[in-house]
Amino acid sequence: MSATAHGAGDGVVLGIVVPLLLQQFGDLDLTSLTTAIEYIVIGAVVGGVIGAVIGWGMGKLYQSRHSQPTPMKPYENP
Amino acid sequence: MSLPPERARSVRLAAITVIAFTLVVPSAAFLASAAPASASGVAASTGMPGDPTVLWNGQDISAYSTPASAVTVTFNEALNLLYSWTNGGATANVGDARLQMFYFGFAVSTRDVYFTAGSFSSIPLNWTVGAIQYVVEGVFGLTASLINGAGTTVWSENFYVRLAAPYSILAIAPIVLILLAIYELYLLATCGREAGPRLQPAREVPPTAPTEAGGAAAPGAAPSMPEPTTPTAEPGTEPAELGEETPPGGSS
Repeated sequence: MSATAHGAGDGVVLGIVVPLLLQQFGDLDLTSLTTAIEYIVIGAVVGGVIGAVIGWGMGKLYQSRHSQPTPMKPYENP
Repeated sequence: MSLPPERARSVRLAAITVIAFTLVVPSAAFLASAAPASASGVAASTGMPGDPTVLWNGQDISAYSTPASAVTVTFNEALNLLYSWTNGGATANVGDARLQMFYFGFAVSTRDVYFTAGSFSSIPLNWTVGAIQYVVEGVFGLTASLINGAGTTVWSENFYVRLAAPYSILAIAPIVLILLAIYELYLLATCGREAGPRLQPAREVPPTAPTEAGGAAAPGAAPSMPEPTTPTAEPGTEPAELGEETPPGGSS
């Protein structure tokens, strides 16, 4: 699984958790079923997109930091 | 530190299970409740003569009509509501004062006070949150309603309360959600490792049977390990002690 897919999966879970946390500690109203589902679905979609972008960026960062040095070409006698 | 894929998958499955459990709690409460709630969580309100009001510890609940103005309910706090209406409401034939708390559109707590229809114009209702306060906290919508003898809601009003857990956090849902959020943030911060090359596990090399000098091992015979050799002294000579050096020129 690529870093982008991993990031998207983590973002989806975070996008679902955040509205629930906002209801627990903030003023988010999850009284109505349709409104609550809207919050969760929107949170999952937005979180998935943001997580995918972050995962893609983290993958590129990891590759740049752990890139293998290119082997030198052997000396060729004419 | 990174979890192996099998363990990360099981932890992810556990996280999804916790979220599903959090969403299923109101559904279970809905099935357990005696009175079905409306799908939207807001009971239909019809005009009732008699100008009914509901006082929450002496304060009209219309003051708590928005989540931002929700009244705070501390842990295990008993609340006293007073449903009252003027004599003009006698024609409404009210026989039930009801209070319901909604979550995800389902009634997680319902309190009813039944009385002889049309005989009162003021009904006290004492309410405690119950076991749900061990699970969740935060802002919840409540509906106070008056129901006539035929079971029809003749008046209702919505307001909000804020359930406060001990130390603002000691409930199951917020603790689990915080731990889950921290774990997912950790996974998100370390997901870049997935872009690196995967290391293949080292292949297990089958053991080779050592052969005796000058002959092959018999098929099916267990591989024989060479026995450790111990220095033996030749007969007739004294074994040299450890640490004792012999002069290069021989013994004098």
